[in-house]
Amino acid sequence: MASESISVTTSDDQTIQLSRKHAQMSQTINSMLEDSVGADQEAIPLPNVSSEVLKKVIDWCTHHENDPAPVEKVKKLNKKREYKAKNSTISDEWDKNFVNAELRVIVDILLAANYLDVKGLFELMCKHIANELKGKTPDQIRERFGIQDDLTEEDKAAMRKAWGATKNDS
Amino acid sequence: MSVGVIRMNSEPTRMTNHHENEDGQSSELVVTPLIKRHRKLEEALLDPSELPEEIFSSILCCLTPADIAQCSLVSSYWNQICKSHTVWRCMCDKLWDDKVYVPRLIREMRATDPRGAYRLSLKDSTRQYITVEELTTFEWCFRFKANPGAEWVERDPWWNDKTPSTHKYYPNGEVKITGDFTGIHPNERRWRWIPRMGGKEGPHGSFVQINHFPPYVFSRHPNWGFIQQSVAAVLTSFPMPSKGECPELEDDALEAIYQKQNRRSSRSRQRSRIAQVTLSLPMQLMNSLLRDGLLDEEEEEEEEEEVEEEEMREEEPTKAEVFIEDPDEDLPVVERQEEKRQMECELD
Repeated sequence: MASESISVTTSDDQTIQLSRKHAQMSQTINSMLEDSVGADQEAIPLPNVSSEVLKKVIDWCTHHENDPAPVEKVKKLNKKREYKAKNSTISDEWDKNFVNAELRVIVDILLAANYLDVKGLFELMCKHIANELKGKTPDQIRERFGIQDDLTEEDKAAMRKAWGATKNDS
Repeated sequence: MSVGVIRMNSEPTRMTNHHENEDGQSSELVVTPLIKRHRKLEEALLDPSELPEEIFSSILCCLTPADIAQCSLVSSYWNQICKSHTVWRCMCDKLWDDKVYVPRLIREMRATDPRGAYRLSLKDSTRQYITVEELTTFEWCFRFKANPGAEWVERDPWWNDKTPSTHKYYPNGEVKITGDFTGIHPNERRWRWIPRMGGKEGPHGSFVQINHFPPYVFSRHPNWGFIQQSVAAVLTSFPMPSKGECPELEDDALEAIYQKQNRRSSRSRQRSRIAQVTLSLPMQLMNSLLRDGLLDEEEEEEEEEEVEEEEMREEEPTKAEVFIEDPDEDLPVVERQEEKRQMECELD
């Protein structure tokens, strides 16, 4: 008999209860649950996720638990405005607040979302990090993240040509 | 150009700098980046390229093609990932996700050349003519425009907030109409390509006519679906939105496209030729089958030709303007620029 609450054990050895609904938003936990139908007492080990990060993930799942399934497509296809919220735009106000955290935390959540396979959360984190790269020149990106430039000017010229770069590099 | 070569070239330079700095005064030149790196780490500013490759790819494909091009110039590793099939397959998926139609050949190209598929799909989304394969595959939703008058509008299901009637075109020239309101002689409809409309020529597949009803001209919706419209009616290759749901499909908006299509069709001939070769092989066959139909001139339309030609001469835009006029207004400007540039290359 499926209980309404699921126990998981985090990397720092905490046991955390979460609702079945939230647990099932993680494809990873969902398939573990499906594999162990009937034997539901044991806590699911999540050795790659700390309790701190898992709580963040649950926060996000709680806010998004009633999001419509991604395939109510045909209806929205006809509406022009749907095309605008693309790529790195974060439109949900709650989400904007949620990603307003240290990048270290963001990266931890990103890795957890990847491991737990929570698609919406993973995309949100990717978008947020992509916003750090958006509209920046290669110099600005290197500067921002302390990356060594291992390309010669000739390489860059060739690459610009190959990319058909139309934008200025100033 | 290989990554190996890049390293070989740049390594000695850096070594030389290093020695000079140890001897001399301005050691900052080399040390600065290292210090910066540590400071950044303390501020928890993580280099996204240190994440697993698949995650870094997922981040990159949240960007526009122009931003990805910038990222590729960061380092040889960034360049490698920015060019990767993983990133561009993901770009295709995101671009195509909310579109109702991407031609099969382009979808197949995603496997072997996803970046080419991305660009080609953008380009193809502005194609204003249709192949016989496309015409006969779609289930077209039909409605009358308000033009023909109340007696038609009143009986049209779409105008009464019901499921619109549908047209199905068959390769043998038949047209089958289904729905609440099928009009007169629904079982005697035949379709054929016509070479011109209102005196305007277009690439093969620009105009179609059923019996002697007003002919249809093709255009595209922002969702990449096809629209065909005559003065009296409109059909969509995708489920037709209800009244008031889609501004692009209101009569006024359609009328503007209709006028523009009539003007632009002859200029677009040259530019369409390349895509036509790739996308319309079965059409060549169809062309010869329908030759008799093609020779069937529309007499009453000949008169309009002169007037329209003049209008066209006045408004004949420069090459660049033709592209700016493209109805893909939803695309970010950079994408349109990139596409435009690429089209120009191909034309040259």
